[in-house]
Amino acid sequence: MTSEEIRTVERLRALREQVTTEMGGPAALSAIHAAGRRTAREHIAEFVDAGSFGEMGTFATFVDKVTAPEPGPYGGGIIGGHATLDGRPVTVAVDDDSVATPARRSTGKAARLYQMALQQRRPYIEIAQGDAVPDLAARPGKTGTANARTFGAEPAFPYLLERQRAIPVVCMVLGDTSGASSFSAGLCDFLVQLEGTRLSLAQKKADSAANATVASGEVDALVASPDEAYAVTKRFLSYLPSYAGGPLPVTNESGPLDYDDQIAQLVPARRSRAYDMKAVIRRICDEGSFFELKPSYARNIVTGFGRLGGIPIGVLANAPMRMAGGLTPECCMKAVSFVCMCDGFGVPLLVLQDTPGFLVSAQAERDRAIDRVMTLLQAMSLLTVPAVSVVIRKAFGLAFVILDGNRAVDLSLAWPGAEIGFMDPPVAANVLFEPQIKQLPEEERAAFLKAKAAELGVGFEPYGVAANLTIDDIIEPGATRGVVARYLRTALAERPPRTAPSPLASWPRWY
Amino acid sequence: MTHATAPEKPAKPPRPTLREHIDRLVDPGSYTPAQHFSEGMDQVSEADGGEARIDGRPVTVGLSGHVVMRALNRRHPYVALSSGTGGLARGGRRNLGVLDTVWGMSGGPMLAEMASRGRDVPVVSAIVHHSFGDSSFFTGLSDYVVQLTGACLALTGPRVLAIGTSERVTMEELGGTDVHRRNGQADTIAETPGEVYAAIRRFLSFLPSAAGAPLPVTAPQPAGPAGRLESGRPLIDALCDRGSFFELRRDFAPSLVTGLARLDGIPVGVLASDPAVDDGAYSADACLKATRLVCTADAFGLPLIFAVDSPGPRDDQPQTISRAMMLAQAIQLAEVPKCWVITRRANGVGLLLTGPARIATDLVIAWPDARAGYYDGESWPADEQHWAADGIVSPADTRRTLAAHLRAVLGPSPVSKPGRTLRTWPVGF
Repeated sequence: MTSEEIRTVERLRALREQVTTEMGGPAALSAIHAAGRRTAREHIAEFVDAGSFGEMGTFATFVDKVTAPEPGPYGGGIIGGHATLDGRPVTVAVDDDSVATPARRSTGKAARLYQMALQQRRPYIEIAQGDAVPDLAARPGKTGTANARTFGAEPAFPYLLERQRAIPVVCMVLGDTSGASSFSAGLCDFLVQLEGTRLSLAQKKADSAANATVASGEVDALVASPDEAYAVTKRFLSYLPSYAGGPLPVTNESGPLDYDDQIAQLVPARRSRAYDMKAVIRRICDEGSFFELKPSYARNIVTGFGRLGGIPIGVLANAPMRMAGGLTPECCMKAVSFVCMCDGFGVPLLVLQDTPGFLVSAQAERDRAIDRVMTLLQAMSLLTVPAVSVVIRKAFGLAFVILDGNRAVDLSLAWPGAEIGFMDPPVAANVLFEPQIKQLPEEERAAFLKAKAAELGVGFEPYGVAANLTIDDIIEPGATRGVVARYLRTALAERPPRTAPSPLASWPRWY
Repeated sequence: MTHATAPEKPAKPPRPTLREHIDRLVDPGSYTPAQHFSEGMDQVSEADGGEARIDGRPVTVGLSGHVVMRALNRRHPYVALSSGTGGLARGGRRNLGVLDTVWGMSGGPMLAEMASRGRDVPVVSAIVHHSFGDSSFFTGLSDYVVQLTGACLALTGPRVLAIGTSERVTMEELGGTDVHRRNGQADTIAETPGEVYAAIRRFLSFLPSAAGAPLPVTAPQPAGPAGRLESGRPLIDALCDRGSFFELRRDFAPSLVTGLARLDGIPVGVLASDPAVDDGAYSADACLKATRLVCTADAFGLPLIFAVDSPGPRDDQPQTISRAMMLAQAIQLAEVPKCWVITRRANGVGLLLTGPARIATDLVIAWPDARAGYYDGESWPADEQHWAADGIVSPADTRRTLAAHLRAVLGPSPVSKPGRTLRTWPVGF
């Protein structure tokens, strides 16, 4: 090399060294550390596989002649690039909150990173920790707009708006976040929030506590530390393909599919006795594989991923521990959001039913129960993934029709003790025989009702609905794991590839 | 548990029969009842409904969802006159010994078609009497819902509620118009049956008979009163053809005014901030309100007009982030021509929603004193406040500019080129 060439390379090395070590300057870095937090580069170092990070956009700056006449510091408010996570390629973009406040965050850089992830078909992960002003929503081809950009004229702001679940997107909120940094929280597949942080759309608003977003159902996992955030993100991604339509990450060590003579004991025969549905889920899934999402929201329905014979599955299950498993408008939102994610990424769905139905009340109507319930019906009706439904103990009327995918599930099963009918028998008896009840003396009514409910109950045995193929079969509880696993193996092996994307892939993450 | 009478049954004037409703709703003499065992799974009779014309255009009308398949197959609008107590009323007692009580009695076959219909034809629900069970389900799958005062709309009626949950409420408390005007379940509240019919005819007048059919463009009318242009309804009146604005969900999320209207004779969806309410902020509910209209307009090819005078989102409601992003997604995915008029302020997410990528058919204009930015009121960017706009247009010139743009992008004989994505989005936002 000539001395000129050597000088050029040395200059690059020196500049890169400076940019990557100094970041927003020593004062900013020590302020972050004093607060017990991590810088963007420290997050990346702790999060991704050691030595796997390949930075991109190192010398990008936030250039925006309206909001920032002078170019901002290198990095553009985001540190990002490619890396591997448990050996699988991902793209990461982390808010660099060491630069000036409010953080000047190059939306163009985030957009570029997302675009590369999309092209390479791998998951995209943002770590949000800034009160960011977006640079301008670039509109390609527009003139007269102040959108001087680091990366040319690629669409900047709308980079996630048209994503339609083409690749998994994760947003980890690890510091107070608002403005542009918060946008991906409303568009991602998996939203993780660190306890004590606040997440809001508008800037400079005080005191929207972490709990607000958990209570609203938007946050999938609330974590106590950044390390826990990394861990749940890795866990989440372990169930998904790297891109929609890609091969599912099937594992080899699934455990036996033998008859399970314990599982039936988890479910009390008496219809009103509560039990822990998650225990049933854990016995059906491969050992230790169940991973619950939104565990503290609308707890009368359980959503989460698991594995069955090594195959990743989504599990949607009623939880009789909470309101007897009755379904509220919030349950519908939680279920819709989950079903869209499973369908968008081709993850098979297992539905476990034990519910008295939709909880009807004046409050539910005020909460617009009709629209919420019908949106769940729409979602279940549009399913394209292999889906299996099992009625564990009871399922009535519309709730059964909807959770059974409106006859859109591949396989509709019931345990032998299940009750399936148009309405919970005691209520049905009361409604149907109202005229007769009125004729009876007060003291005879209870016995009459009980007898009528029992009569109706006979018709609600699963053999009735099995006879007319409303369900496909009645299975022994102990055989559930084996039956579903074997079915899914065949279904996935033989299912023709999709010719069109799943309609649910375009649905919003929350509504 | 043993006291099973309905909680309340006030005396009422005799209700119109289904046939009387239909005769008053449709063009005189145009109704032909369906015949027995006519088509496919619709084993219907003339008691269930049939075909008719509204403003000369064919429609199917029926009791709740009973004959909806006929409209889906014929590809023209369906009007459900909803009145019913669900599966039980439709022969529930009779059916008890019959197989398939779950699927059939829950309206399964109808629901299956409706849930995956993809907004191919406009579906309207008129709640003309108490509607429970599958009558209410149908409502939640309809593009437009008008509820008559005095009629109750709920998943389950007060009687079953009292038996099943011991909650005792009146029809009005459970699902009366005061409930559904505020929660957004009903698009229009009508005081009389006559208002119900007028609202249905009005709603359908803006829509093509099916997605992809010609847009019902009328002769241009002059604009409304061109007094002092403000925001909200006065602005809509000044921009749109006189008297053409048909408001939807008026009492739900009132900081955003939404509805259908005509601009130079072209049917459009209109969304205008109303700074008189909550400063015109985009609440989580306002985002839901807007998303429903954006989806309907996109599915049926109606251009969208946004008039923005908003400080942005409201963060004190839960779900604001998700719902604002949902609306931004809907706008981004909508393929119909979209026009924005920034009249005074477009801040924060109010601005975000004006960042469309479909530059060929979209237009953003701002009034001369308008400001746009991501900042608080005190710290607007000093210059180039109109950076997101295609042009600065005076208030007086706005209507003409919008009309010229729509004429240009729609061409001489506009058809309702439906969007591909939002048609399968949920109906009940």
